[in-house]
Parts: sequence; C-alpha cells; structure tokens
Amino acid sequence: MTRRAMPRGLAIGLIGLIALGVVLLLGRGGSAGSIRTILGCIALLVVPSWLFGSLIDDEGDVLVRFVGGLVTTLAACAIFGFAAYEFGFRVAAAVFAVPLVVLIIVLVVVRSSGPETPKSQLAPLGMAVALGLATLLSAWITHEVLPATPIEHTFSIEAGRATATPGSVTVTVAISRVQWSQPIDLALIVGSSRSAVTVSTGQTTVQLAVALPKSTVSCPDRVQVLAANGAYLALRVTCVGW
Amino acid sequence: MSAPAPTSWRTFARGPIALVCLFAVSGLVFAISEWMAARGDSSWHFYVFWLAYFLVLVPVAWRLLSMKTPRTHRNALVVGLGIWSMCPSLDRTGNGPLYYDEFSHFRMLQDLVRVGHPVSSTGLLQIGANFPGVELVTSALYHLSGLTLWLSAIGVASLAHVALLFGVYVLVRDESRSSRAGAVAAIVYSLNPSWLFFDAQFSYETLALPVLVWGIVLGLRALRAREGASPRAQTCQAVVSGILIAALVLIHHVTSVIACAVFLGVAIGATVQRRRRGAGERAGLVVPLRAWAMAAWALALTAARFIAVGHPLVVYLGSPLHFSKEFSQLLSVLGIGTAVHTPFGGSLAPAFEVVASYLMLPILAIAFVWAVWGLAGHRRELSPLVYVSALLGFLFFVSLLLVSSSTYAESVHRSWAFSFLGLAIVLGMAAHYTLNDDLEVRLFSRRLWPLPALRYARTGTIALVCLVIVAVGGVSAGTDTAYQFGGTVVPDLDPLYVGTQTQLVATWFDTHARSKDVVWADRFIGRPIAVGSSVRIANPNGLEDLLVLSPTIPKSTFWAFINDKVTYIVFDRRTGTIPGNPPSYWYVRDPTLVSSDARKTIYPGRIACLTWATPVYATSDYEILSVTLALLGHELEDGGLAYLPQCDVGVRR
Repeated sequence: MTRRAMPRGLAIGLIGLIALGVVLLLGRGGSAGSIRTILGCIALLVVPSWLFGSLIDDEGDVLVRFVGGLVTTLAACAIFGFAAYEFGFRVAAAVFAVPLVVLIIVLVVVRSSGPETPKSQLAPLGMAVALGLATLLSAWITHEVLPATPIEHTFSIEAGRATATPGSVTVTVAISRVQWSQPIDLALIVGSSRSAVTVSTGQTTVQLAVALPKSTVSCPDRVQVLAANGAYLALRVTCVGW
Repeated sequence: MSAPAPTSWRTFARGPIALVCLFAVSGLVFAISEWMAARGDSSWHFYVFWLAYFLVLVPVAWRLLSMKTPRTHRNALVVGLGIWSMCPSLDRTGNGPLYYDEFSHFRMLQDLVRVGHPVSSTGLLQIGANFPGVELVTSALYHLSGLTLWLSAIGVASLAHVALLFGVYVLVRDESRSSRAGAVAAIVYSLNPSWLFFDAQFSYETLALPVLVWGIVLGLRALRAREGASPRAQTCQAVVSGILIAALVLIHHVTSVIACAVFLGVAIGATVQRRRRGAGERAGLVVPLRAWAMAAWALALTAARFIAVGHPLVVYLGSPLHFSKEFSQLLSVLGIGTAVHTPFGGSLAPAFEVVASYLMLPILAIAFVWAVWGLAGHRRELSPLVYVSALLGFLFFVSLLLVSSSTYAESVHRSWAFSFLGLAIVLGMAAHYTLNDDLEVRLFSRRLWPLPALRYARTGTIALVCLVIVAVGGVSAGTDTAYQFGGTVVPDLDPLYVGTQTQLVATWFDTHARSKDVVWADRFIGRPIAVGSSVRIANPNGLEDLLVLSPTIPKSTFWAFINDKVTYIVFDRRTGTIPGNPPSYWYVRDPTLVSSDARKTIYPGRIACLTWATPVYATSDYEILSVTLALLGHELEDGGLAYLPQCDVGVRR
C-alpha cells in the first residue's frame, strides 16, 4: 500500500508556517539571530520551493522540484513585493510573510487535492550540496588565510576651523594613515605667509601656526592647509581679538 | 587475502568522495590565484586560475557524458558545477559590491530597505526602480532571514546562478529525453563569456535569466501533448510558467522581450508544424493554441509594463540606437571607417588567452553550422524551441560585427547570455543525435559526418581541446582581467579603482553627510560613496561635467549645480594626469559624447579655484569640497565668474 502524499505536504506546510511565525518574533544578532536565519531560509526558500516543486514535477526528480520550485518562489516574492509597493505598503517583513502564509496554505491544499506524487530521493540533492559546500568552504577558508585585498598606502587630512589672532593663525589638523610610513609635509598658507611642518609617523594630530605680518589689518576669511603631494584643505576662520 | 589495490583505487576515484575532494581543491586553488593576483608580482595567477578551473570542469564533463553515470548523478553534478562556478566571482568581490552594476543594484537595495519602496533618484541606475524584482526578492531574504544585506544579495545571486545552469540542463533534457544531451547543453552554456563573472554578479540579469529559462522549461512542459501526462500537472506547470513570466517583467526589461520572442517563435513554429504534420502525429508536439495563449500572456504583460514605465525606458534602451552612428561603426568594423574600440586594446590578458579568444570563434561557428546542418535531417521531429534557439545562436555571430564599437560593445557582451542559450540548446540537441549515432551531415551526396576515420577516442580528444579553447577564450573575451583578478589600485579602471582611499571617502560621507546631500563625482568614486552612505549622486553626464571639460565654462554649468542641489564635490586629483591616458574626465564613458576639444583637454585646476566650494577633507588623491549653493547663486546673480580666473588652465594631450 502506498502512502498518500497529503500528510507529507501538510507536514512540510506546517513546518513552514511555524518557521515563519517564529522568524517574525526573533530579532537580529546573537543566537536568536542564527536561529532566525535558519528558520527564515526554511520558511522562505525551502518550504514553498518544495511545495511548488512537487506541483511542477511529476517525475519525482528532487533537484528539478527543488530548483524549479526555488525559482518560482523567488519570482512570487518579486510579485508580492511589487504588489505591496503598488498598493502603497512599505516593503518590509510583513509584505512577504503574509502572502507566504497564504501561498503555503494554497500550495498544501492544491497538493493534497491531487493524486500522490512520486517520492523523490534526496541523495542527488545531498551530493550537489556537498560538492558546492566543498568548493565554497575551501575557497573561503583559503581567502581568510591568504587575504586578496590589496591595501593602498594612503593618508587623509581633516581640520576644523582655524583661529586667527592679530599676530598669528593656528589650526589643528587631524591625520590618519593607512600603511603610510613616510613623513607628511604640511604647510599652512595665509595670504603671502606660509609655515611648513613635517609630520612624523605616529602623529595623529599636528598644530600648524603662521605669524601674520604686522601690516595685517583685518582677520583673514580663509586659510589653506597644503600637503606636499597636493592634498589641500581650505578652512574657515574664527577671529579672536580683532 | 588482500583486495586488489587498483580496483579499490578505481572505486574510490569514481566515487563522490573523490569528486568532493576535487571541488574542494579547486576552490582552494581559485582563492590562491586571487591572492597571487593581489600581490601583483607576476602573471602566474592566470595559470593557477585555469588549473583550478580545469581541475573540476574536465573530470565533471567526462562524468556527465559517460554512459555509466546515472541520471540522478548527472543532475547533482550540474547543480554542483553551478555552485562551483560562483567561486571565482565570490573570491573577487569579497565582502561588498565591487562590479559596476553591483553598486547600482546594491544601492537600490539599501534604499528599498531604508525607505520601504524602490527609489530611482539615487543617480546610479535611473531605470532600476522600474524593474526592482531582484531587490524585492533580496529584501524578502533580508527581512525574513536576518542575514546582512550583502549576504542576502550574494545569496540570491548564487541561487539564481545555479538555477540558470540547471534550467538549461533540464530544458534540453526535456527536449531530447536524454540527460547526456542536457549535460552537453549545460557545459556549453557554462562556456558563455559572461558566465563566470558578469552573470554571477548581483544585478537584475542574474535573476532574470533563470526566471526566463525556467519559464520556458515549465511553459513547454505545459504546452506539449504528452502521452500519460496528467492534465492537472500540466495546468500547474502552465500556471507556474505564467507566474514566472509575470515576475520577469518586474525584474528585467530585455529578458522580458526575449521571453516574448521565444514564446512567439514557439507558437509560430507549433502552428507551422501542426499544418505540415498529420493530425495523428500529436505526441510530443507543442499544442499551438496553448502556445499562442502563453505568447499572448507574455506579450500582454511586457507591453503593459513597458507602457507603464514609459519615457524612462525609451531613454534607457533607446540611447544606443543612433542609427547614423551605428552605420559608421559598422563601416569601421569592415575597415572603411575608424574603429572606436579595439578588442583586447590595453588588455592585460596573457597571449594564450587572447589567442584562445580568436580561436574560439571559428570553433563555435563550425560547431554551430555542424549542429544546425545535422539537425536539419531531423527537422520533422524537432520542437519549435530548437528553431528559435538556432536563431538565437545565430545572433551570437551577428553580434560579433558590433563588438568593436564603443556604443555597442557592452550590449553585445550582455546579449551573449541569451545567444549562448541558443547555442547550448542547438549543440545539446545535436549531441543527443550524435551520441545515438543518428546525426548525419551531407553535402549533396557526400557524407561529411560522421567521419569514418574519427573514432570515439579521437573525437573526445578534439572535443576536449575545443572545450579548453572556448573556456579560456570565452572568459578572456567576456571579462576584463580587472573583473577576474584584483591587484594594485588603478584610479581609472573599473573595478580596480576600488581600494582603501575610496573606502576612506565613503566612510567620511557616511559620518558627515545626510540623505539630502547630493554629490557630484566621477563615475568611479561616486559608486563606493553611494553604497557607503545615504547621499545621492548628481545626474550622470549632467552639465556639471563641463566644469572641467569645457575651455570656457557656460553659465548653465554653474546653474546645473544649483538645479541639481549639489552639496558636495568629490574630485580625484589624478584626473587627466595618468601617464599614457588621454586627459579626459572619467565620468565620460564614451569620448565621442563630448566635443572634440574636450577630448583633448581637461581643466582639473579649476576645482581648487571655486569660490563657492570649500575643501573639507582630503586623502592622498581625493578631495571633498563642501558646496555653498547660496554663495554660488549670489555670484551668478551678480555676474561674477564663480571661479578664480588664474586657475583657468587646461592639461593638453
């Protein structure tokens, strides 16, 4: 006596619905987040795909069922999201979860109303997953051991406002380096006055000061910080004592 | 008594454990090749890459074609091959978007999650919000699984990639009732030049292609009059195929058109076949009425979507259709005019890859002609899909005429995902008859195939050599080496411009800027900024570009900054100064779009002299300037220059 397909479909549908319900209660991060990821993938990718797949394949081919069902599920999600957007809903978890509940129920009902489908062997699915995981895991572990991201040798400069008194202008420049081991030559330029400083490795801030000529009668409105390689900042000035 | 060692070794080597080991070693060697490329001290990484590639492809191809391999193993191997083929692009991209299109789609995804609906005003891919399918699907995975956005994105791209290869396999398996023929089609499709990198990235085509292929698979299952097929199963297949077509028009525009063309072709073919064949020969035939219904569904949905999108789609798809330019570029290909784009010009690909690319073309042409010629002898048995596929495959060779045009090169590369589908189906069907010793090619009374002198072993060797050449040549023809391997940062080369400095600039915007801010930046740095922060990028190819391109700056350029509400300028101080490169501004992808003078001259010095833009952050090569639009407005209203005249200096070629 062969087993009816309905209980299996119903069981899978129930797993999907429970997983979906739990997913909506769990937050991101931590162990709850890990459980949510597993259940979310089951609810979104596995259960509807399996149910769709058993409707479109009558030969019991597990991979046709799963992959064909998966593509259909993804397509259905695109339609759910777009419909929600068109009806003015914010695209969020509920926009997918609610139609998925309806979809799973409909698929279970349709599946159980028809003749039994041939039971499929899971071994090919297991073999495909094993081959894929072997590739991706070995590549990922190697990638972690031998990182393939070249690091640029660079620096950056940033400063707040300059302070100008009748005798001088001062400014504090913040410097950050990424594998930049050379000293950085910075100059503070105010009109025709200029002062230069060499910032040694390890310094993260430097104060630049330039003396203003005695003939200066008004507070400068802008000063410039210039690095030897052409990087520059133009700073607004806070006038003190003018 | 001990067991004979060779037998046990053979058993082991044939077993799944040996295959799993091969796949694992291949993944490891792929990662090593990427690491070697990043060190940048030799070109050995190319050889290591191909070692990893053939380490899996050759034994898997052999097993797929072996008669002893059971069908279920073949299914598993094709899916395994699909997952394995994600490895090179995942190795290259790493922990965030890297390829040009990936940035656009990932920013759309970020906006979708942030504001709750598709956004088109970011300035990267204007048409994207009208076809937001891939972002919607990814956001579903993100919301329900709690994965990070990037993991959700590569998850969807990987699933789609695997589903595409398996879909091609199932499509030809259904057509031929032979899983070996399906395997041939899958292998041929995996040699598609865009397969390893371009079609594996997070973009709308990556999802649209498997939706198209599975739509055809299920559509044809529903359309055929099959003996013993359950009407209920065929109804389900028809409904699901309809769902896939409906989703397709939300995912990608061109793929929707291809779906219409395929179903229309199948419907026409089915009608013609029905008239030619007697009413008694119905088993396996596509039922014309059902085929027309499916074609009508695809056409109606696509037309409705295109009408709903309207003008933006016309602008997006219509921009390359300058027929006078098309004609002149065709002339240039024929040697009458000047070619704008040289194949492999400036490419870093090793000589053997370039040679393989050129050898690939006659091999594919001979294989295609052989297949079509051979299949002509079975034309009464063939499904209309094979005719449509032959036409699609032929378009691959037609597209080569435009591959050297700067306007069409990108479209040609994108078209190969479709034309290779045609090639795969035609070659898969021809292989089916060949493997059954039932394919004959005749020229008048002379038999050209099968060749009596060619035994299986020799045919296999020739096929293996062709496979190696097409695989190597395909990757080289379809992908810039910068898409394949990382390396030292190159500021004007996509995607090698992505590096530590682009990360620093993007991080600065993430910390300091708001979502209302608009950045004017070149086509390279604009992308990391767009995904690293919530700012918008100013209108691409807007009038702002004339600030550094035009000998005299028109006032409209400055007004463009005001109209587009630009609040930041990001400028690469290396612009126009890279030795050996024409000094053009890097936003202009097609140098013919700007005036001839602008192609010879660049005025980067003007950036330092804008009286309304203050440099607030600088890295070794990038400058971020904060724009005071009110100040610019006042200067313009007062009739001022808006920049210091002493900086009006150009760099000439």
